[in-house]
Amino acid sequence: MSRISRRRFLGGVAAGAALASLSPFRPARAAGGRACRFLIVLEGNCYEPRCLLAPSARAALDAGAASSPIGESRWWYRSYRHDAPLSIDDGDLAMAPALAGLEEHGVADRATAIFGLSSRVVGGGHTAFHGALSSTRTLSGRAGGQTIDAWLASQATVRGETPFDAVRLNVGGGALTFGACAGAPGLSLPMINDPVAAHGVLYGAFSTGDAQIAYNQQRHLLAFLRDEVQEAIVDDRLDVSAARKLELYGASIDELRLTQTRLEALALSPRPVPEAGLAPIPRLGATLDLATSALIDGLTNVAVVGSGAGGSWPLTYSSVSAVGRHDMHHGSAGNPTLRQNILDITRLQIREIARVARRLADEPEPGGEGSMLDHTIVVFIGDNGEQHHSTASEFPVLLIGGGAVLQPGGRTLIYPGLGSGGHRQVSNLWNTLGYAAGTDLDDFGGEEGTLRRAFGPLGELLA
Amino acid sequence: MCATLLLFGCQGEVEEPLRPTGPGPDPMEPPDEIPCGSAGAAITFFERRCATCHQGSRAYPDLTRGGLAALEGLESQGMPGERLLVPGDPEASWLFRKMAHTQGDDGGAGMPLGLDRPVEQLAEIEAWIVEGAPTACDELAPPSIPYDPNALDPDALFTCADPTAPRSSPTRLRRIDAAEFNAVAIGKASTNPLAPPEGTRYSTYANDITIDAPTVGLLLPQFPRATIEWAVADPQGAGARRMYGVGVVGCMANNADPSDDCIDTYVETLLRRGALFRGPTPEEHARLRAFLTDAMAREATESITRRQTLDLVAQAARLSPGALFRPELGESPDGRRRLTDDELALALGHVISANPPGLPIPNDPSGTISPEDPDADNLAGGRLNRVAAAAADGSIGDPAVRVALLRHYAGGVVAERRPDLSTRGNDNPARGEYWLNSNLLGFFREWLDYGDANVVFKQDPAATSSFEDQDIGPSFSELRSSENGSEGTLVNQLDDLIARVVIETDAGGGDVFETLMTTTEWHLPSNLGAGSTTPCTTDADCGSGQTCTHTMYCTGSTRRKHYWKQAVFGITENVGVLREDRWVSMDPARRMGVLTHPAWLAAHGGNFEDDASLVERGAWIRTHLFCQSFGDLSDVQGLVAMLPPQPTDGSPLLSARQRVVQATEDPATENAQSCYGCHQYMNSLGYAFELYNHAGFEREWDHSGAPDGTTVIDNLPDPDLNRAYASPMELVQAIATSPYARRGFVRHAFRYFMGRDEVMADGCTLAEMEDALNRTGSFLSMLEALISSETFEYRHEGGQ
Repeated sequence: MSRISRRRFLGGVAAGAALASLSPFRPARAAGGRACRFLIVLEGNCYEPRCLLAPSARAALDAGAASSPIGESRWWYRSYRHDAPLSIDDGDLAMAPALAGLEEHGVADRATAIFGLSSRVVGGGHTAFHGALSSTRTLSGRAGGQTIDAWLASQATVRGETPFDAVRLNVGGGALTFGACAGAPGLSLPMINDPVAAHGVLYGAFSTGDAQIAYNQQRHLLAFLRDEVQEAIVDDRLDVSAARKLELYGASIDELRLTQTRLEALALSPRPVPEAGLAPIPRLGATLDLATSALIDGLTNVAVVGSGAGGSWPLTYSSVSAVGRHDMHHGSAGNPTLRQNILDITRLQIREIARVARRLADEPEPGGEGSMLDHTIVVFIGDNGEQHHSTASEFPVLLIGGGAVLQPGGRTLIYPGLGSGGHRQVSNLWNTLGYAAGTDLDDFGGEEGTLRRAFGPLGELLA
Repeated sequence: MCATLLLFGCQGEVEEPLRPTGPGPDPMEPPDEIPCGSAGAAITFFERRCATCHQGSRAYPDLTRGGLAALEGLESQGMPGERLLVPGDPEASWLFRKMAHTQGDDGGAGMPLGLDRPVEQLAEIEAWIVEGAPTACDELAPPSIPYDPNALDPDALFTCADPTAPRSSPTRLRRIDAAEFNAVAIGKASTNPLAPPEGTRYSTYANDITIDAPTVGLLLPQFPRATIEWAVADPQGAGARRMYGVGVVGCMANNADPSDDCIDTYVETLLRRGALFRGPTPEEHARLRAFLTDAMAREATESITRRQTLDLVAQAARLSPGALFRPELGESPDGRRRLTDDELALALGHVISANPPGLPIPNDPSGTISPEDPDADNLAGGRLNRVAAAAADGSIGDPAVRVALLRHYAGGVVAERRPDLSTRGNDNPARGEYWLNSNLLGFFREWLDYGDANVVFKQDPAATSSFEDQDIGPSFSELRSSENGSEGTLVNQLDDLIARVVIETDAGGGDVFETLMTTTEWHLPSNLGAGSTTPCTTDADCGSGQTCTHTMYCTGSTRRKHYWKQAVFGITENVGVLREDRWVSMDPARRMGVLTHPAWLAAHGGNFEDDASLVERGAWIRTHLFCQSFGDLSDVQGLVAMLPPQPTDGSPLLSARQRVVQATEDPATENAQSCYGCHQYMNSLGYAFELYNHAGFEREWDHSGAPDGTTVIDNLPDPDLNRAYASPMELVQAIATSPYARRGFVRHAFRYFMGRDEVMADGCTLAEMEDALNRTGSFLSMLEALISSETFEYRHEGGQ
């Protein structure tokens, strides 16, 4: 185990302080370009900070950045005592309890573990629903604001000419999950839970059999509806307002037809159809593969992959435990086996994420330098915070990729706790993605007044 | 701090009680080109930002275009001697000082309310005053002040000068709502996107509500599940509807080459009973028929099954403009534009139910459809078949027929089976015997806004109550999670209470509004629903895995979900499983009326026990009973985080009430004065309900002291209500007898059932509704007045 000395810890603090002084709210954007793609992976039962804690980061906390040794703690947001972000890069990131997969797939040096970001505005609880990605509070299932994936998808610089503004998939029950992504306040966006159905949506235009039939039928449907709208608008009883409603409906249909036109222009070979009926971890892997393929094939530049996200908690990881994931957390306080099981699941999930990051790393960036991973930011975050019954006081985050716009990985960033003026929030992370996409996004989310601790991105991340 | 603690983007007046706001252009984003320099900028700012409240005599001073011109001669009402506008001298202008937040400690809140700093346009206003405050600008576009019905003078509104004068409503296309889509899709849609957009007052409103691209994208995945009954000739397996009985689908599904009659019948039935719920025009019929025959022609060459073809055609019908937008356009053969019979049927049907007239009723092989169902005598005719029949024979134009139809379908009291519940639960004694059809109940759910009580996250729901140390979590969770199951949910308990009040008062048993506010006859869930018959005194008396509960019966984990279901109502005694056992007389010293019901309290409570629930509760009373609004309620960010934290220095912990006071009323708190500008309209109303926690449990303690439900109210528009109250029960009793609050009830009913805001021209109809309510005490009689009126039947071009 790598250990950190008191002297090195202080050096880390000093370095952190220097970082803080260099990270005003509006840092100049790096000249290295921008990220072209975003893959956000959202865990629905929380994942615990300890999963990402490398030995050197633990040592830094134990040496004084935390009020007491971390020990067996699973979360410790109350313990932070430092006032400037710590950047620790001892090369041992993959030795964190759940990060072995980074080493296995050769992306440890492109990954950054981030601690200390809060999002109290979302309210915590079992899930923050859309709150994790929107930095607003979901009340009664109604999203409080636009989620970052939707914001990114709305940027012309991100979407380009891709057919789909975003692809949203989830490992969960039922056909669709509406609880995690939103296009606007009150407008939830669906995540497709069935990877086979998702494949049909993405690759139906290039497939054979039922998927192709479904795609063609939809083409006929949209054409018919467009004609129907034209017929309806000529009713001379319509006033301006009523006619406007129909015109907007027609424009909406046209937008979907444009997606089809763009799809057909791609002339892709379809990717393999995912297996049906997979267990949660392989299903997450298949879903991640599908999303990654969509990124590689240019179908979209924004993908969200949930695992039990948006309230679709009831997943049972039979290869790990017969206890369902949700109940696993409920029983974990007094049960070390369940605590280990939770950790094991996160480790397996991160291995899958690292695997698809490797896929991106192996693809050269079309028309650019480096690999596709250099131009893709992968974010792994929980949808409620540091614990199952979360206070939303800390959202551990794992970033992979984005080398064209982010500082080198292989390190841990620890932001100061809630009581410090140097504290930062998840909304700053989302601002960072905005900057990475080429836009000065400084105030994403719903934090107003003193609720927002700082505008702008996390300057410590941007190159 | 207060800018985020405030629930509302407050706007208001300089000195008089806050009045309404409404949707409109973003006041912070004036048009690119405003003529007349500072004059144009100032006029535009005041119109957009201030004049919604500050117009006419509503809120002093008048800041409309005309009002600005007369401002120079006026003084502050709160600070006599202070001139509102001194051209050339901003600092001598009270208007400017209020906006600049330099009005001093005695000067009241800064303007606009809700901001703890001046608006960005302050410099423009200053420049305008320096330049002499000119108000002449012919080039400026006509005023555009957002409309808010709460700004109307209630006395004037409820005045009917000429009962014989023609009345009408604006024409509109009403996009169908989520419940209607779900009904048509036989509940097979997953979450559907047709919920009302942000800021829509009621789900029935239609203003500017259309279907954008994301919504279409969200609708498409609902298919083919949502059209399966039109694609599969399988009456038993597909949740089938009664049209299978005449072979409509089977004829198409089972014949490779269906006859013309078969095709025409399918298209006609699909449009009439599966999409439009009116007779299709010949053109509509012809276009869908052509689409169907084209699709069938592709079957062989593209390996398309007939099921896929029929599914496509059903989707096309269901997503056609006529299916998604119900017309209320009318025709004018005699010079006045009257709704067509089909349009009247759709409008009346929507008053009553989410089911459109003629919607096929699922086949009922197990015979569970209630014989007390209003459609039981003609199941093949579908839902609201009498309404459809009245449209077909033209009798729906007769107000007396509409009244009779409303009466037939409104609801009632059943001997056995509830028609409104699913076939699984309609003979369930767990639910009350009183029922209301879906949209009638929908009004109460939306007006009282308690529909979310089952889903709002509640951390430690029993915190500060006498049940805090009990294992109530599983029961409270179960209480909120079994719609139509063996037990009603928390929301259902209030549903059943309301249904009883409406039905009984209609039958002559008192006044519906007063009874709603004060009833103590409540429907409760049984805590014995999953009973064990093993008596016990200690856990040792029970088998492995079982515990001895307070009911003195052994229980396993399943029963844990039930044995404290009544706790949130403050009841410790067992509530039996029989229907009559569940009607419980509440202690009037502790609970009284819908505003002390845990469903309402939980819906208007925060996530945590020490949240500012009182603000939400007070806001509802202000806006939904007294029709004084403060902007929309969407900005609730930071409700917890912006309350001052609990002291950590060993001093006594603070209640939520004390922390709200500290944040919004304590002069020692920075910006509290600005906060109080809005909070004065919420806090005092909400304090009374601090006897209950965020989940609706009665508090036994409140941090360092006893629960405090006292309040002093001094700013309600009904002067008789402005006094001290010792408890929420006192307050609700006073509200129950307030004619002002009663008019709020009438106005909100009008809004919901007409799907629009009231205007002064609706005065006669509102007065007739009020008169019906006052004469009979009946909610249904009040509705009769509405649906009999010309306001309901006639239209003028206006556009919504």
